[in-house]
Amino acid sequence: MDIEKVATLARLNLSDAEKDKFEAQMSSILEYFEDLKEVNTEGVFPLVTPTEIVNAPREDIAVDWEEADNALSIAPQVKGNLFQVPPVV
Amino acid sequence: MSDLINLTAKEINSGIVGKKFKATEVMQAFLDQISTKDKCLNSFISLNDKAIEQAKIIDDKVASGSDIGILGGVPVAIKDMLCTKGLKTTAGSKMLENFIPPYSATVVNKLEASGAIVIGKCNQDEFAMGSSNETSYFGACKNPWDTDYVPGGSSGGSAVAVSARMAPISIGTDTGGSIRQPASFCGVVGVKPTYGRVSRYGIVAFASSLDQAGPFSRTIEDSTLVLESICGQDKYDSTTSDASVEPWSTGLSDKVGVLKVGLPKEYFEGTLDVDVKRSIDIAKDSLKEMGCEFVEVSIPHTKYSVPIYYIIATSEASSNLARYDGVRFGHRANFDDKPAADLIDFYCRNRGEGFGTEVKRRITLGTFTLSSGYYDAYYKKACQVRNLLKQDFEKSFKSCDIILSPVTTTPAFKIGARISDPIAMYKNDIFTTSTNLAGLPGLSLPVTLSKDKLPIGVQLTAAAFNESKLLQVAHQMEQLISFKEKPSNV
Amino acid sequence: MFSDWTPVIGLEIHAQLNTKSKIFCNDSTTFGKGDNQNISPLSLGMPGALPVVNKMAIENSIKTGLALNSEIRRKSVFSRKNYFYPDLPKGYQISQFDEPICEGGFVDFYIEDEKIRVGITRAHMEEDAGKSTHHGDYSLINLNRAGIPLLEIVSEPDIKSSAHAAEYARTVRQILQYLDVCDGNLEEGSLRCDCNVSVMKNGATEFGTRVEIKNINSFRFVEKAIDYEISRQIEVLESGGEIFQETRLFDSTKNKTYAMRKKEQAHDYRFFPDPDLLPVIISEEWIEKVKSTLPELPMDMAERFQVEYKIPKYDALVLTQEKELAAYFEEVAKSSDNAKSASNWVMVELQRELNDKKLNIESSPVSSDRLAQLIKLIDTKVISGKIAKNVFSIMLVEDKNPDVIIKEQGLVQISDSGAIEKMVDDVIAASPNQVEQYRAGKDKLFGYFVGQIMKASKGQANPEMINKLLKEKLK
Repeated sequence: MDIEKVATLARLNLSDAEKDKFEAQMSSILEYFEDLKEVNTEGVFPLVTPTEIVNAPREDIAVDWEEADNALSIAPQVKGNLFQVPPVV
Repeated sequence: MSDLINLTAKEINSGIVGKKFKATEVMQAFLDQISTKDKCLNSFISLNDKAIEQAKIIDDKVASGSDIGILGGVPVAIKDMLCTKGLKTTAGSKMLENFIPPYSATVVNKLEASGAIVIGKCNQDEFAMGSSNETSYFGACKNPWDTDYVPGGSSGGSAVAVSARMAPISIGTDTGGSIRQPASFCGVVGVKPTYGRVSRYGIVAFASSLDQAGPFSRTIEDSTLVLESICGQDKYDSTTSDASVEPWSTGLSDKVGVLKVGLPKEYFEGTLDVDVKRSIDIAKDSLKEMGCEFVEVSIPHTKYSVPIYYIIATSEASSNLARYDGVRFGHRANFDDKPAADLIDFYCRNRGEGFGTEVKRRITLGTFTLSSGYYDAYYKKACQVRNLLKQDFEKSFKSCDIILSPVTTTPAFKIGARISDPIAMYKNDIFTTSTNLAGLPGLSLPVTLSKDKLPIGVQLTAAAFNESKLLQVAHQMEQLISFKEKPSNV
Repeated sequence: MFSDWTPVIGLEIHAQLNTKSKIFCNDSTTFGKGDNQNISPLSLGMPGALPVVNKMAIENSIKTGLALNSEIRRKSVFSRKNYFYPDLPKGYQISQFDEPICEGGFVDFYIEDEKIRVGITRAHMEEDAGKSTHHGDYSLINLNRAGIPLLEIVSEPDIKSSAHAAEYARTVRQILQYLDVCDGNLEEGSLRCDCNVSVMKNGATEFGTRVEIKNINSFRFVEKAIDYEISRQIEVLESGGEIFQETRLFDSTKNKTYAMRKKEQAHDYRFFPDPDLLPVIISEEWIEKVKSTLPELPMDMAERFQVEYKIPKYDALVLTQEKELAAYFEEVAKSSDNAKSASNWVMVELQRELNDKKLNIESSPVSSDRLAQLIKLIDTKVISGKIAKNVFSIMLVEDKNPDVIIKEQGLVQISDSGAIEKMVDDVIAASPNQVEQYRAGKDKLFGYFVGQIMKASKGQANPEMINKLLKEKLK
């Protein structure tokens, strides 16, 4: 695993200590995962949700959230009623 | 006052209804216990400063003859993974250190509708990632039976709160054993319901297809009352089931008949820790007394449950934790002195500072297992093996009604003993992860103390949506085993 | 046009679906609300918020799929598309990856007289992101739009020219508007069009490298962007260069495409099925129910108009461009029982007025009922076609029925043969020279006599009667 590449993909700054630790640990973890190769999964459906529940869509009704303004008051940086971040372009 | 903190939730509720004592007295008693005991246990991250006020409302209702609910007046401690409107919710992380959600989790709303009062938010492993409550940004939580030992995790704080009599009931979350394992380590009851029984709305998501919230208590009956309150289909969570919620508490003592108890052969191969073996023997004795028979069952894919758990859970988590970016809420780094070089730098610094090492390790792993070129070998493969594991359980439940197994390989370990070896820590979860993967209900029942005077529980697992049988059997075992120990300085 | 090269074009159209609430949460979708008002825990990506899918979004997608002749998957799955961007609150977009709701299909349209068919690969549901605006050293994010339902319609790389591409896009929009599932407004962004362009040498068996073009907000620009890109690629290849798979943006002021910065291009989306949402199961009953609510589609309606009303293909295509216009025409045609006339009046007289005043057919000052009355008045010879035009221009500004206007203005056509015969006699008597020349063979002078009678009758004499009587008297 290219730790730096994956950490960037995941948008995580790692300290040098973390990077070193992860190098060793990730190899052992992935080695531990090698056991899975033993299992014959030919034609087996990959299970995502363990119980058999059927999707229940909701009716198309709009609801106003009374906490909308409160939600902005907890934002780190706001200008007017918009979230502010460093330049996106 | 000390008598009040030793009451069960059921006794507290009846006592308040019967006007033996007031809800405010009860709440004060528990708050006093917290201020005495929690300094050295560190099981609470924050307390509800409106708790007494809310208890008074219950007292007013009693005075006017109104119904106060099945948990009316009962203080409940809530793992800091569940959003509580107006109360800080941190998930044990610096990322959410000051996050005050403008909404509550459905579980919290339901508990409050049943009359329970939130006493405080409990310590936990950061973002529920851990089995020892050592990864919390707010410091480790200690086992009240011996403070050199871990209470287990990730719901360490919730287990300790009940064990040390700081709350009669608490709520934790279980993704790979995070309720059952600390329950076992702390000598309390901990229940993980069938996946889909309890709404995940408002619960900080770790692994969406594995997480379930559930109760800690000192008796099966109390946990049953909590389950009656919190279970049920929720229109805000598409993964909840419409399976009906029965009044399980009324049937706990019903005769179970000739029950077949399954013993998975893979769990008992090799040598068990001597204390763990003893706990299983005690459990078997009680089941024999109930007239049960033992059958050997097989879960052939047991050995893969930990690796597939870590692949699936970390993959889902890497995606669920992407929202913590410092844009709309949560931790943002200080960019005044050193502005962000670009957008990537902005994100990397916010998240790099906000998350602890274990969380970063799991996000990194989960990002990798979903990434291009590795998805089939890891994530997809793990999901396929998950299907086979689930089928193993379905086959087993054709020849037995309930499965008995250990919860963990050993009793609680010392703080610091396993934290630097992730694989050693992950392998702790061998008996509990398969339950989450298969979506089944499971619980930990305290049975005995180890030679070092640390509690050990045993695990019962039932078929999906069979909480009825699970709770009945556990309740009746509990009566026979009669585990009455409590931590010495509590 | 490009001699040795064959362009290969595919279009990805994102249509915002007209639902009252967002696709995965019940925030309002109403446009024009204050900043960050249409929000809730899910559209803010807050901890513990969970998606619940909007039934109407699924239904509108089924409807569109049926109209595009696609197969509707009985089981389709939502997947997460993971990437980081400030207008993407959860850090992933809920979309569909390998089990989209619609698969296959096609769309037909005419270019001049040729019927062209473009295949559809798939259509899938997903949620829209928020909007970011840029202000130098900071950017601002509005999440009102985050979570609005989108249907992404992907064409086969079947399209052979920029003109075909624009017409394909117009046709898809037309279908969406007929179904009332999308406003189809490119400028406002309720419809967005991305183009994939590559070129291959004539006779080659493998496609060239594909380039994606974004930021196109009109059908005219679709053509220009594609034309520019095709030329650019040919130029690069002919000079020995290589085409890189990349995303380029269209600059409408320069009519060129330009490359985005490299850093923004590397994305590993790590698609996986969303564990918070269960597969969407669509029953036969649901599909049948939606099928039964499908309106007549534009191509079918145009063909029916040609058969039922015997109007030419060109007219039928123009009249069916918009559902409301077609409905208006049909009301007039049925009421007046003269489809040809109805078609002319709507396409010429009425359309000119609507264009001038920038009105749509729904705001027409003349109702279909009144226009039909006018046509009937011509057909029953109460007025002539010429007078009718005057009446029409009065109808545009006064809220009156045509017969009322005719009465008020005294415009009833003179059809009394006695009166006209007298006018004919008067004109013949007053113009002996012209009569002589006409009888000697100058047929063109007939128009002169007609003109004189028209002048004398202030245009109200029945033209057919004039012709008949004149012919007799001039023999």
